[in-house]
Amino acid sequence: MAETAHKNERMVLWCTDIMARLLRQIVARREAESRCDTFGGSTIASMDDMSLDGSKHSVTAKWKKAGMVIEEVKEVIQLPAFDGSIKEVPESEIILPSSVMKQLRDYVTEISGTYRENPFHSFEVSAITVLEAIICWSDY
Amino acid sequence: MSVAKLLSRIVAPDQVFNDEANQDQIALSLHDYTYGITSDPLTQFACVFAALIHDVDHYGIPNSQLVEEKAPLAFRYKNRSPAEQNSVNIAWKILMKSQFAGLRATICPTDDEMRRFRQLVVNSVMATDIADKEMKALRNGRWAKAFSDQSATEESERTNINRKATIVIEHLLQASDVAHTMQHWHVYTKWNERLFQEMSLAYMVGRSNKDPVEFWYQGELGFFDFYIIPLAKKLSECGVFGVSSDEYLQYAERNREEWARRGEEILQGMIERFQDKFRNEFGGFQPGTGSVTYSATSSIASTSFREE
Repeated sequence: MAETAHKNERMVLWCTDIMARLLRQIVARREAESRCDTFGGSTIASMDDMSLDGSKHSVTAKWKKAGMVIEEVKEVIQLPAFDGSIKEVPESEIILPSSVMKQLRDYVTEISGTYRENPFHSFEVSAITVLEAIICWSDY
Repeated sequence: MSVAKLLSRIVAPDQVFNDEANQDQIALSLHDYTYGITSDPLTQFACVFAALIHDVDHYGIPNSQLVEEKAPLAFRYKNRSPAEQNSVNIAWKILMKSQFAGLRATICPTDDEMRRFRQLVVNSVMATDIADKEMKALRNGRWAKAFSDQSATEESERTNINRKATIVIEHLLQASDVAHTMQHWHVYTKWNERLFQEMSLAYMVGRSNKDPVEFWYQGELGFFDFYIIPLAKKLSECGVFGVSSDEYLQYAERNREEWARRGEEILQGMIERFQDKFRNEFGGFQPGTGSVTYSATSSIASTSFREE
C-alpha cells in the first residue's frame, strides 16, 4: 500500500515538473509580448494578485460548464499568428510563484485521485505518457 | 510515445535549420512548417494537460458497454463518447475550483486564452474516442480537407494553417493514446497485457458480452491493420514530425509482424497469468454470469457516477 502511494506521488511530481516547465514557457511568452500589465480581453485574475484560497477570484459562469462537451469540438481552432517582432524571454528566467507551483501539484494530485484502479485505463498510463516526455523535452 | 515526445519530434526541414544567418526567418519557417503548434506554449501545455486528464474516471469498460447497459453516464451524454465527456467535465470542474485560481491565471488569464485552452483540451480529449463512427468520419474528412489543394485555394491562408494545426493536434493525442503499439516490442506487450486484463475483468463481472480470449489475437492484427498503421502513416505523411516519424511507423509494423508470428503463444501466457493473478479475488466465479461477490480493487464492477 505504502509502495503504491509512493509510486503515485513520484508520478505526480514528474507530471508537475513537466507541466511547470511548460507553464514557465507560457509566462515567458506573455512577458515577451509585454502583456502582463495590459491583457487584451477581460482579465480573470492577474499574476500579481494570486492567492491560495482564490477568494478574490471568481470564475464567470460561462466557464463553469459541464454539458455536452462533444458539441464544443471545433473544426478550426485559432492559434496565434506569428509575430517576428517578439523577443523571446528565456524560460530559465521565469520563476513561478510558490503558490502557483503548489496549486499545480495539488491539481495533478487531485486528478490522480479521480482515476480508477484499472489495469490499463489508469493514472499510471496517463502519467507515464507524460513522464516519458521528460527526456525528450530536454532534447527539444 | 507521449504527447510531449511527439511534440518534441516536431521539426523544421533541415534546410531551415541550416540557415543560421537569419534567426527570424528560422522562427517563421518553423512556425509555418508546424502550423504554429511549436510557436505557442499554451497549445503545447493544452496537449500535455489533455493527456493527463483524458482517462479521468474511466470505468474500465468501453463506451459501447455503457450505452448497452443504459448507464447513467451514457444517458447523461446521449450515448455519445460518455467516458471522454465525463473526463473533460470532471477535470475542468476541478480546475475551476477557487483554490486553483492562481493556476488558472497563469495558464490563461484572459477570456480569449481560456477559450482557446478549453477548445484545445476538448478537441484533444474527444479525439481519443476512436470508436464513435460519426466523429471518426468527420475527423477523417477534416484531415482530407486540411491537406487538400482545394482547401488551400478556397480559404484564407491563416484559416488553412489553423485547420491543419487543429487536426494534427487531434492525431497527436490519438497517437499518444495508443503509444504502446508504436514503441518497442516489450513496451507493446506490457500494455497490451494490461488492456487484456482489464477487458477480461469486465467480461468476468458480466460487463462485456465477449470473452477477450476469443478475439484478442485477431483483434490485435485488425487494430494494427485498420487503425495503428494508417495512423502512423498519416503522422509520417503530414511531415510535421520530420524524419523521426518513420520510427513510429516502423515500430508499429514490426510489432504487427511479431504479433502475427508469436501472438497466439503470447496470448496463452497472458491467459494463464490473468487466471493466476485474479483467481483469489474471483474464487468460484463463473465467467460471464456477473454474479460474483466482487472484492477486487478494480472499479470495473462499480456503477457509481462520480460526477454526481
